[in-house]
Amino acid sequence: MQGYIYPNEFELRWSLLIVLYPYLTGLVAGAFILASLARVFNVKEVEPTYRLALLTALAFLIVAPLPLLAHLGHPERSYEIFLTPNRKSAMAMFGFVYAWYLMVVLLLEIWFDYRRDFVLRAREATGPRKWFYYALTLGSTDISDRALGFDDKAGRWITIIGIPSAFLLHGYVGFIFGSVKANPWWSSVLMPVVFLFSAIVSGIALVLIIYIVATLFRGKKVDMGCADKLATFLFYAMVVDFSLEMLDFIHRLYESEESIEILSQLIEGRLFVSLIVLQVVLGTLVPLIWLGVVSPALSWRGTRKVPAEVRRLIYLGCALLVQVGIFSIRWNVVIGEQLFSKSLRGLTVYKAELLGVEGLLMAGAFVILPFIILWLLVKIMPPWVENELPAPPEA
Amino acid sequence: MIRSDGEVVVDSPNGGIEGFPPIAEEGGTLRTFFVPKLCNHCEEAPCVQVCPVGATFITDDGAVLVDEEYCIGCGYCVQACPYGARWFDPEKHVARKCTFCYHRLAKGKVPACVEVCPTSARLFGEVGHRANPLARFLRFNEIQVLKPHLNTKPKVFYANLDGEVR
Ligand code: SF4
Ligand code: SF4
Repeated sequence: MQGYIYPNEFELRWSLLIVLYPYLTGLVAGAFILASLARVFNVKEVEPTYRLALLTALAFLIVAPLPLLAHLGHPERSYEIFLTPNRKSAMAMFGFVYAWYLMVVLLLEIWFDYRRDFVLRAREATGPRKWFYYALTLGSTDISDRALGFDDKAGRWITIIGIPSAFLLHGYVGFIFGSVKANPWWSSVLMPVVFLFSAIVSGIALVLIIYIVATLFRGKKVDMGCADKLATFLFYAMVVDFSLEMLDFIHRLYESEESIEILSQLIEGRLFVSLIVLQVVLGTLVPLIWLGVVSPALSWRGTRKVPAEVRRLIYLGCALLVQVGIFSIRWNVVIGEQLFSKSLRGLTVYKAELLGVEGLLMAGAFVILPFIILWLLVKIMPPWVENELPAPPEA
Repeated sequence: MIRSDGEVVVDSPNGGIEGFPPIAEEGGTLRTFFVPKLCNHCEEAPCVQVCPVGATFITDDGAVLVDEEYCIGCGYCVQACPYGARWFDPEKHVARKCTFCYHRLAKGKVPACVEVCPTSARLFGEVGHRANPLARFLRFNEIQVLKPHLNTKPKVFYANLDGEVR
């Protein structure tokens, strides 16, 4: 502790779990936007990751609200958000944005995309598996060309609705923080935009990681065309994201409001490691430089020619660093905000606990859980290209 | 306390429960003063705006209260209050705050802090009423509110507040 803080600021009300929530939601939005690239804008190269990105989005979306729920003082009353929402509250409306996104966008899109597979698998399989896949088709087993054509069109439309929805989803998370005028560290119109672009960055990086790691584990060859394209997109998204963050930073510095003194103390002291070292240097600048050098983002064959295996490793390393960086962004937003007093006269410290509901272990569990769900999803609905089921023989 | 060199020192050791020991003087004192802070029962209360379930509400007579049976304990209001006036009840797991002693108001009494203040430094009354002691006080003194730029329209007024108070 340093200077003066209000008695209620001694303990941080929003802890690690609340850091996870925007982090996970961001991954969802980012993965989905990547998937839409393949679908709506017909980016052929990233097609191998289309289904993977959708399933990733689903797995993380299922987990995203859990840390929020676990953090409530009375989780058993949380349904009240849906029953008696306060329409003026940013948080209450998020429940609806979330539900819309899960039900209308993601589940529908995945269903339309996989319906043909479900039907074919239900035909092939026997016993309970047959019934399971049959249940997934929801009873519509028509896979004539016309029906499939309809699936495709429907999926396309849903993606088109889905892109603004994904923007809304994460922009909204940014709004939850950015609209709190009480807090000069949060209160910024740029917050939703910065959140959005950092979400895209984190989503692309995540899919890149999962794609490379999963492909290697399956003993297959990484499609370098796809990895290069992902890396290129990652680079562009990071450039935009970083410029926005800098814009926000310069704007604050230039306006230099009343809060600037305590905020600069915050950045120089408490947040130095997580903001300057992790977020800016390791999470942004280092991967940006590497990607700029080896990926085809800046020049057609990459500024330096690097063999595929090395390039793959560099991509993987960059993507992991980016995750660290994005997590630090969320950390700096959520924890950073509470480290200085609203009296603007003092700083406090955050001590993470290891055990307990708000502890490190719990947080770790929430990070691992989506991967377990994803693994299950991948088992049920293999997203890999070579698993494409052949068209059935004409009956 | 404001030191002679203009540096501001603020402290409330242990919430002020054990009184206020003199601050070690370094370089002389310019001014000292004491500012009690409580919930401002803002007319445009950010805490009411953000509460997702409407557990925080404004009563017809203007007090801002929390319904403990309804609060889901999200803590959003704690973040949204610009005055640090809210805290989290570690036992009930709900948000708590000053209620203006609503249980006393309901019986026609004034809040306890107003009643016990030995020098009558606190005045309580209906805002907007034309002829009560509060109205007279507001008319004849220079009145400030805390953080007016946030447009929360506080109903707690301070007379002769020092410019250094945030
Ligand atoms: S002072 Fe804080 S808790 Fe009280 S009404 Fe205003 S915003 Fe709400
Ligand atoms: S902690 Fe309770 S009173 Fe505060 S915003 Fe959440 S539900 Fe409303």
